[in-house]
Amino acid sequence: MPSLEWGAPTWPGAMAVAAFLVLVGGVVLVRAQGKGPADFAMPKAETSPGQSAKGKAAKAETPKNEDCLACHADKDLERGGKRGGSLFVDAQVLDGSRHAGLDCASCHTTATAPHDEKLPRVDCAGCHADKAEVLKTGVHGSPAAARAGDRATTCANCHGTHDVRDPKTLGTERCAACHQAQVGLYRESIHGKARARGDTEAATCTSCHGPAHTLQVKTDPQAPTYHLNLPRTCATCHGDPEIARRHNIEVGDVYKLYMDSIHGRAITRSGLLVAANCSDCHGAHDIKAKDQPTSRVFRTNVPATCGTCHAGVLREYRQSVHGQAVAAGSTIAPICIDCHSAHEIRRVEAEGWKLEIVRECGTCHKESLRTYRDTFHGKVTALGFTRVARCSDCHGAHDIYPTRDVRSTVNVANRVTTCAKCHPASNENFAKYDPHAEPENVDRSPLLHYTWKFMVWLLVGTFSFFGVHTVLWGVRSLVGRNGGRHAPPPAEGSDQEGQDA
Amino acid sequence: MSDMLPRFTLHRRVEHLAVMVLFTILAVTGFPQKFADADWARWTVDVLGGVERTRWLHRMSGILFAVFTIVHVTVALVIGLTGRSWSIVPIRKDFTDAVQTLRYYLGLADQPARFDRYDYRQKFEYWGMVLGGGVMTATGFILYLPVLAARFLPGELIPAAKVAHSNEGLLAFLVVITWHIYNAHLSPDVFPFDPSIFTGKISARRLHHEHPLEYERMVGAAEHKP
Repeated sequence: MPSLEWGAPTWPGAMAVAAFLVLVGGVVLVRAQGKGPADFAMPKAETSPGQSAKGKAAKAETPKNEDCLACHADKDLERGGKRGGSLFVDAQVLDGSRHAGLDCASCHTTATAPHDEKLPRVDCAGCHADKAEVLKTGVHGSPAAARAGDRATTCANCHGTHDVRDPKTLGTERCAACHQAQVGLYRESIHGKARARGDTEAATCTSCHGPAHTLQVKTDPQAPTYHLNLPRTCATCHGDPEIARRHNIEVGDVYKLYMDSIHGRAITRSGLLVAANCSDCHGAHDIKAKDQPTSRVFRTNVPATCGTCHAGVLREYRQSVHGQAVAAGSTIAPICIDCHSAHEIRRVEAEGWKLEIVRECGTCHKESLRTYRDTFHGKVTALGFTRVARCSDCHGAHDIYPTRDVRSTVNVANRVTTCAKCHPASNENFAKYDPHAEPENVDRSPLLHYTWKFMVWLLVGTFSFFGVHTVLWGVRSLVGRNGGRHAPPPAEGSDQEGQDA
Repeated sequence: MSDMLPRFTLHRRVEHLAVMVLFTILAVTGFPQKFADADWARWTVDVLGGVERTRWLHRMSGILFAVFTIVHVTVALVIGLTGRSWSIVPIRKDFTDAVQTLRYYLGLADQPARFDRYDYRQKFEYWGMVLGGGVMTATGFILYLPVLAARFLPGELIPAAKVAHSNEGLLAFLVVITWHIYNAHLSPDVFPFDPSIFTGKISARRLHHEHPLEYERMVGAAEHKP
């Protein structure tokens, strides 16, 4: 078997390994056909080094299980030396395991009965050569993992020794043996709790990290948890609206929305490692529902979560009237996602967003939106024109302050400057323009109010007069046609008859 | 005496044509801005090629309209002040004519009033048009150049100008589609179409029916000619 050592994994290298593994796997399968586990363990050929060792032992006389248990059934049997430790073997555990029916010597191939020397570590690859090869492709089988001392990954770390179980039954507790902190967080997470409730669809370690044998660290571009791969990994479940429906998840098409958002596009189009992926906002092992106060996406935690990347914006927002209100416990004051949305975040320069944001402000500031819509600014933005003033052009966005605050862009002291952003020649008089003038409000806009009233009455009056007049005229023209204007004046009767003819 | 009598000079006919075209453009480009929330407004703006082009069309038509208004008023004043004709100016007879005609419409009188060159309905419409045009021009320029306007006028005037412009526009439009369309198209007297403002001529019969005093003056003047 050729040595399979390499440095950083590369695509051609990985492909070669994969091809080789398929070949080896095929051979093993062919050889294993028609054999039970016990048969499989019995050496037939003496081609590989492991098997030749077995062969020698067999020649020396392979001990039977009774021979081994003669000593190892003793519960007090201990290993000598510094490490110590029990050498007791419970035959019932073995019989209840996946390896039931195998002889001791099937794994402990060099054992003799009795033996003085410490037996070498069991080489699972003697039977599971395919798995051993696969393991080498993942981080758990990497040279680094092998050098990790006590925490070095061995087959037994996960699968156990005499109590080896069906791999499908291996749970998160096996991972916790080494990754205690992560699994601890996971158990408190929405996924962990759902699993604990018996939800078999909820994610476990391998759902996100992939199978343990081939598992890659998240810095590896092949890993399903790699920054650029994670959204697709989460989408294996959260891309399915059916799953969302079954689990009462509000946003069914979250994956599509995210992939079309500025964050999703930065990930997929630019491969931008600093663009937020799912875990940047929701966490990874500690994902919690948004109604949990400890969730990163709990309403009052959202600004801080976004602020981990958008620190400058967060600083401005915290000072603003909205940020202050949220800090004071308001549940209606806007947080980042109210304006920017959560999964559909777009560039603020996008035309569509520029128009929608006006409506968004209006969900709370209803009166302001109504009066704005009645002005020139509001009407042309309603028609899709974005070059005129929208809410944020005058009021600011993250740095909105109360009007009386001198920092406010619409404070009386700053108005000329604010108007001048679009109207460069703005002056004191011009800045008296009320962008939220109300025709109905005589106190706020007297001149506008009386002009409006006059115009409405003029319209109603003129139109009523014209309307009534026209109706009367029409009726009379039809009813009195022969006795009306067409009746010839007596003095010119003869002329008229001539013309009518 | 010929069948067709002269009624409008070329100047008046060109003015009418220009106002008709400009008024239509101004209405088509203006109402989508007034009723911006409506679907048809968006549709119209899209068809016109966007808000910016709509506004450009509206402003250019507005400037032309203002030029025609100024020329018209200047010419009218010259004609009036040189003593040639004040025929469009309302006089007391118009009021009595209106009362008489309304009585006739209601069946309280046998004959409508006998009108001169312009009847009270035409004068009403004309002055609505001229005064309205003045309001539209003045408020239109305030909205076009608000910063410039605010150098001379209070800033509070801008929203007032907008409401006046918007409502006067609607008024003019409603008057045109009811009053003027009735007068010039639907009225049984002229249905389907009164061509005199385009041809400049009116039949002696119609002039005699609709403007008997003008008819008598013209026919009388003609008869006095050698």
